[in-house]
Formats: sequence, structure tokens, C-alpha cells
Amino acid sequence: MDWGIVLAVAGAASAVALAGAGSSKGVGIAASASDGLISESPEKFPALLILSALPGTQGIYGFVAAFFVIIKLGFLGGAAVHVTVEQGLQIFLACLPVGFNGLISGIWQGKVGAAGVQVVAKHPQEFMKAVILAALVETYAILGLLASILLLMGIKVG
Amino acid sequence: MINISYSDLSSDPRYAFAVGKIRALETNLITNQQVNRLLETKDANALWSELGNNRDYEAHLAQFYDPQDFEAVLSSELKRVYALTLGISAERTALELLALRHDFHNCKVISKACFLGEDTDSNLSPLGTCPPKEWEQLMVAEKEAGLCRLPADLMQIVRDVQQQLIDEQNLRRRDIIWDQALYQYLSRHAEKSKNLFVQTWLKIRIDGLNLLTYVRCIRQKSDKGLLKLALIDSGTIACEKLQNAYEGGLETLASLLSPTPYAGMIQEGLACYKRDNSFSCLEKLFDDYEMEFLSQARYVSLGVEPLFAYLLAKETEIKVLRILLVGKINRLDKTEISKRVRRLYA
Repeated sequence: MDWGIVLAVAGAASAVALAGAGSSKGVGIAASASDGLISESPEKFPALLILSALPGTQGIYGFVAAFFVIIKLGFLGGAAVHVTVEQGLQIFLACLPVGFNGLISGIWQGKVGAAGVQVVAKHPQEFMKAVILAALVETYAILGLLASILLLMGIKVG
Repeated sequence: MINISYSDLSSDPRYAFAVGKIRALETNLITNQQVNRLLETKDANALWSELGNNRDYEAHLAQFYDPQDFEAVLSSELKRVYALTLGISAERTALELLALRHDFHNCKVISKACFLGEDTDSNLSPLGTCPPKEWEQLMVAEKEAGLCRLPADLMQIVRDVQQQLIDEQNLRRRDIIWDQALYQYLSRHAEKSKNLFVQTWLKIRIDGLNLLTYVRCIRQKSDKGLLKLALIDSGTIACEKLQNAYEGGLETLASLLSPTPYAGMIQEGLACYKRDNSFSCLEKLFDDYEMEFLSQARYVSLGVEPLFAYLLAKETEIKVLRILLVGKINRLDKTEISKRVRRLYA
């Protein structure tokens, strides 16, 4: 078995799985809160859609990082490149920032989103403030993605 | 004010839907400003039609045109809110605490009615965890055969209290025995909820009752034994301290409470009590204090606290509407009515 490839694939998989788990949990929390509000005030749906969707971006970031790994490994071109165990480990570690940042920030962004839903319930005109506060959490997911991409770009394989 | 630190408040994602819904419903709660407007209305009919503009009451008022029917409207609204809140809560223990008060109220009413040979129906509450008829069946016919499964520990307490009451002929002492049983049970139930907010609310409620009992005993010149019997354990103020302070009267009470969060409230309350020679101002101040504590639930976005506070806020709202309607029906002066109006959550 080519352990270098195994490690690299495990890195890509963990980026998608961890960030995706964070997003699904976060979207679940914010969307449940939105459902509660919509059950009484359905007209607030457009604002609530944005607050509920915000924690979903972490899952996309995880997928972007995994896509970088897939391209690096040559899986899409048909000819997989050779990856040493050391290089595989480097790719694995490079995927962790986006994975863990996505997991934690996704859940917290969901919680901030749920709190934002309550702002919309009482003061619909302050909706943008709630979105901005939820977007602050996003910063750290973006930094995780950037770190992972920069690290992946620095790893030479093949 | 007794404050709960932010880290001790809940963050339970299971409540996301429920809290979202409650925040929307809170916008229908009557505000303090709206109460002032209702106070300004010229009579009960004008107040009734003004109330019809509120989303929570409009459906009820469509069925009842006469303000004299306010009891039916207010009780069906409270019943609706209890059913809704318990229905959307991820976990019922904390909210059941509030419903259990109504079970005990029903037991107390049934017991009193049996003792005095009176009718019970008009005073029973439909808001308990079990229908009043089933309590009646258990207490009067001594059998359990209803649709609702009465909790075994609660049934045992009711039977124990009934045993204690066999030889008790004094009505006040009978009430005290029921209240003791209620608050002991509620304290254990609050422990089960593992929620500091709920536990603290109950302690505040017990403190309020104990302080009112203290003042009432002084007013009626009751002996220390009665005070000892009536004081309820599990509040934040130790019962022994209150018993020891009893001989010193109201001044000792004020100095006893000066290092506690109740200092300002009790000073104002006692001044008001001495001025008006009435408990109503003191009761109002306790209710306002409790409402101020409950307002901390506004900072919880995922947890049972907003549901708990909403239910109590609705109870207070209904109490205030009852005060307003009774006042307007009896053509009381608006300053007289406003003295009794409680602070609202919204």
C-alpha cells in the first residue's frame, strides 16, 4: 500500500468531514431557530435564509481544500503522482487548519446565527447587524482555509 | 438583584426552534407602555376593545364580547400558552415546575372544599400536569383511575398531607401544611431540572413568601411557633435568621436584609407598608423583583430559560389584565388601579 497517498487522501477527507460536520451542525442550529420564528412570522424568511446559510460556508471551504489535494495528487488528470510518506503526512497536516477551524467555527456561527434570528424577531430593521456579527466568526474559517491552501501550495509532490 | 453569570446560563441547541418561536411570540406580549394606554381607557368596554388589537387575545375576544367574561378569556389564553410552551420544549422538567404549582393549588382547593363542605369547581385550575378531576378522584374517592398517570412521588405526598390534616382544624395551618409540601416538592423538582436559572427563581419566590409571611405574622401578632411552621426552607435567607429576628419586628427585618440583594426592595416595601398599612404594595414589589430577575432570560439564545420566563411573563400579564379589568368594571380610579399594576416582561 502507498502510505503517502493514504495519508494525503485522509487529509482531504478530514478537511471535508470536519468542516462539513461543523457546517451541518451550525446550519442545523440557525435554521431551527429560523423555523421557530417563521412559524409565527413567515414574512421574515428572506432575512432568516441568510443567517441560516452563513454557517454553511465552512463545508464549502473544506471541499475547496480537498479539491486542491485531489488536483495535487493528479486524481482528476488520470495519472496519480507518487507521494512519499513524508509528503503525505505534510498534506495531511496541511488539511487540518481548514478542517478544525471549520468544525468549531461552523458550530459557533450557528449559535451566533440563532441569536441573530432573535434580533430579527424583535428588531427586523437591525438584521444587517446580526449578519455582520455572525460573519465575524467566518473570519477564522477563512483564515483556516487560507492557511491550508498556502501550506498545500508549498508542498512539492511527484 | 440576584444575577446569574452568563456562563451559568444554558446553551442547549435543542431549544433553537422553541426559542426562535418564543422570541416571535414575545413581540405580542403587552408592554408597560401599553398598560398605561389601557389604564387611560374610559371604561371596561373601551379597554376590552383595545385588548382586541393584541394578536394573542383577538381570537378569544371574537367569542366573548362582554368584558364581564374576562375570566374565561384570560384562563383560556393561559391554557393555550401552557400547552404551546410545554409542547415545544425539548425537555419538560423545568416547565413542569410551573404546572405543578397548579396541581398543588387544585389539591389544596379540593382539600379545603371537603373540609368546609363546599363546591370546588369554580376554583380549580386546568393548568396542572393532571386534570383536577383526577386529583379529586384520588383525594375524595381514594382511587387512581384516570387517563393521566399521576406521578407516584406526588401521589404519596398528597396522601401524606391528607394524613397530616386529619386532626388539623385550623384553616390557616392547613394551608401552611399544603404550602410546605408544595415548596419542598418544587425544590426537589428544580434540582432535577439541573438549571441554575430555574433553581434561583424558585429561591427568590420562596424568599418572597417567607418575607411576606414574616410581615403578616407581625401584623397579626402571631406567636413565633406559627412563623416557624410557616417559613419555607430552601430560600436564600435562612429561616433561623428570620425566626431570630422576629422579636425585633420590622426594623430588625430591614437590617437583617441590608447585606442581601433584597435590601433596596425591602426598604421601599416596608416604607410603603407602614404608609398604606397594606400588603399589596409589598406584594407588588416582590413580583416586580421576580420579573427583573426573569428578564435575564433575554440573554439566552439556546436554552429553556426564555420559555420559562415567557410562561411567567404571560402569567403576570394576565394578572395585570385582571387587575385592570376588575378595576374598570368596578369603576375604580386609575391611580388606585395603577398602584396594583405589576412590572411586565416586555
